[in-house]
Amino acid sequence: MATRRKKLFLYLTLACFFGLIAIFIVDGYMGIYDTIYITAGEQEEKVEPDSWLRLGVENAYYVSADWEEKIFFRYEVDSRRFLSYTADIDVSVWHSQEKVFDLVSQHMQIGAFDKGQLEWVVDTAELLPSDIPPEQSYEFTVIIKRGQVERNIIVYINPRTYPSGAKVVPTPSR
Amino acid sequence: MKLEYVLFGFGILFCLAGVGYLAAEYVKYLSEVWKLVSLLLTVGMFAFLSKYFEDIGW
Repeated sequence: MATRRKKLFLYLTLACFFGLIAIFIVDGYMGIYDTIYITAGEQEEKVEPDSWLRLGVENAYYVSADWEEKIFFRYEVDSRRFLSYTADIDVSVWHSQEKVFDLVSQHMQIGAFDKGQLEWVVDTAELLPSDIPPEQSYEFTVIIKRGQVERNIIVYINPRTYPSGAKVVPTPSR
Repeated sequence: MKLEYVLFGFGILFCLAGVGYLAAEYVKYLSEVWKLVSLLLTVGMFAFLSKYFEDIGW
């Protein structure tokens, strides 16, 4: 009787352990995950799938770029499922709640436990209004739609020149 | 008997390492409900393990 009781606790421990493993595999690992790589200037930024969970409902990620610079985007979809995954991916540029133009519209099909990716380039020179003064910054949003999922990337374009009256704050000495 | 204890020690270490690795790597992708269930299972796992060791005379 005592041996059976001992073994019961051991089996319960193992059941809890394998339950944990199962939860982490099914809920934590399996699914569809997207990663965005943004290259502006000489720097590549990686927007991990969990970034969108932290950003919440508004889910906007900020990137800054220089005036008339080209920004390179790579959108990677990782399918961790036993079935193939299909989705329509639409990428567009928006400013002041109005669509400026469509960038990409493509159907993506990914096999089980495989990855798919899309690349596009945003030339900020095409987006900047012709009458914008060089000391003014500009913002636009790149919206990536994958089925029901929407990812917003807000691109902030630095002013070409800063106003001549701007004062340079000296770095405090240590 | 001593060999058994060594094996138990290894078992516990592997369990902790496995759970620790999974927690660090994938806990951010878990939904809130499953995070709670995982917490309860972790508590249960250590509670049952303690009870088991108590019963075998540790």
